[in-house]
Amino acid sequence: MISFSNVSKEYPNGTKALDRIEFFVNNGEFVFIIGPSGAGKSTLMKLIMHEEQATSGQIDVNGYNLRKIKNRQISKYRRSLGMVFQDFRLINQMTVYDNVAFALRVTGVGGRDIRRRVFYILDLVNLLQKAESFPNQISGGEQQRVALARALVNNPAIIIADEPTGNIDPELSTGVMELLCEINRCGPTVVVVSHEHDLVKKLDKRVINIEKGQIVSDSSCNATTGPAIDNNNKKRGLNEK
Amino acid sequence: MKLHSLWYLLGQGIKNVWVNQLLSIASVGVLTVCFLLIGVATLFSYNLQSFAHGVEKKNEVVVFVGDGMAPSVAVNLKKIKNVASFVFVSKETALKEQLSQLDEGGALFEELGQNNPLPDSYRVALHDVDIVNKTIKKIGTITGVEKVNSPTEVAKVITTIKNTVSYAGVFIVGFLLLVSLFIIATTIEMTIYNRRREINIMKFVGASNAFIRVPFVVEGMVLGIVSAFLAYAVLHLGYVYMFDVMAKFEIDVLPMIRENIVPFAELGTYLLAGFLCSGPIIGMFGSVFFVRKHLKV
Ligand SMILES: Nc1ncnc2c1ncn2[C@@H]1O[C@H](COP(=O)(O)OP(=O)(O)OP(=O)(O)O)[C@@H](O)[C@H]1O
Ligand SMILES: [Mg+2]
Repeated sequence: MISFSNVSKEYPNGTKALDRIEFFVNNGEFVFIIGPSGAGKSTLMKLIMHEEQATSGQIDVNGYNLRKIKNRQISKYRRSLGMVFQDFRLINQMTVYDNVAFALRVTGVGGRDIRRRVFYILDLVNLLQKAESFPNQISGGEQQRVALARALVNNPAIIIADEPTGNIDPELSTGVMELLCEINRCGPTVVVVSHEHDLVKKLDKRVINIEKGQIVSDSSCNATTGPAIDNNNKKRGLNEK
Repeated sequence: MKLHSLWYLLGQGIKNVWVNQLLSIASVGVLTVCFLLIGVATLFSYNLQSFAHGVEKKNEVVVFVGDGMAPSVAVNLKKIKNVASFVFVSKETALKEQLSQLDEGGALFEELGQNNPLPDSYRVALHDVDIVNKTIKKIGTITGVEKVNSPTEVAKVITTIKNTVSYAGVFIVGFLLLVSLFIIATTIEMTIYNRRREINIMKFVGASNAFIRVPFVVEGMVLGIVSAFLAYAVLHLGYVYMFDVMAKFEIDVLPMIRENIVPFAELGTYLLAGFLCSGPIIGMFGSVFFVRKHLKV
């Protein structure tokens, strides 16, 4: 569950990135966030990640009040989120395998489980043969998929993806979006920032449109697309069993 | 923290030393140079002191005694605490020694033999040369003692030098320690600044502060230990080499210096112990302190 009530964000340099944002995402929902460049989409994501803090208003995610969250709770809170950053944020000193495995290791999972899980996820994003490469040895699209794999690997309750298809060709981006939809069917909430309006239209999900820091439209207010959880379609989701 | 996590983090710390080769080399280089400076300063000041002490020891107090008083003076000399040892020099021996420095000494000795103007004497070595004046006064009060010759002016100068060196040594080593700490702190800060992105990402993926810190701490300790051994090895080789070279020259003071060289083994162990204590601790605390800055995301 993600809830923003009356949230504004002003950066220290005076830029007003978000202005009285108000929305609610149910567990298991799939939401697109669209809007022109500079609208404040990444800022919204950063607020959810607790990378930035709201200037005013209240944000609740997974039962955490982000205004009151304690420093030592933050790492645990972040483990319940799977984040794909617009700039990937892979660790250059680690192989693709270790980058993905790291998200598991921080949760205290041990050796053999890690191997199985990481290889399963790398297979899911078609990167098995790049497992031992370093981020600077693979293409931008591949890096993006590593970032996606890392976000998925520890079964987070919420997956947040900032332009997960920004660097890949149309075919692959359809593939990534379909993967996110499939994952969403297994339970996790998915929030995706996207520029690709055609793709967004085709998938027929809830769309929140932001312009100049304000929500200008939210399709859930006038459409019937509620939380779409299809329990029959679990054969290729997050859990390999 | 679970045991397998701890093993992973330990391994990660050691691996990072290798992964960040350039930064590791820079850190080890800086730390080693600092250790070397401190080591050289310590060795130099110790040797200078040892040399000065050797020179002092060579300068005995000469106690002249009246005719026939020698045995009773000896009894009293033994009672003075600061007297380490003494040798009796009869008036005949003294005369021989003096005349042997002259060309026709032999003949003169024959002539003067019956009429020796020199008194009997004791050559006294002291435990603590610093309180020589007090001891001389004490010896002067012994009945039968006619005159006490204090050590030469040279010895006094050397004592002053020795004291100055020991104070200056402490000061210089302390100063080098401070400078080293500053340089090391800057190096660690730069190293970690270079890796702030890595630290940030780890935080965003949900790593706890401890999880991020442990590898850095291990890394800092490993670099500290490597630097300690490296500095020790360089000091040892340099020290031995320097005195090997010295042995090949023949200059007047060299035998004196050689006699008083502090063997490396005597100080080396302490230096290594000091390096091994401070190196890893510096690495550890430096890491903890400077990683902290980047953990606040
Ligand atoms: N750290 C920052 N400091 C100051 N201003 C910032 C900062 N980050 C973003 N901004 C500003 O806030 C506004 C919103 O930026 P944001 O990155 O959220 O846009 P966006 O919708 O993600 O754009 P894009 O589609 O190009 O990624 C922009 O005007 C941007 O310049
Ligand atoms: Mg953005």
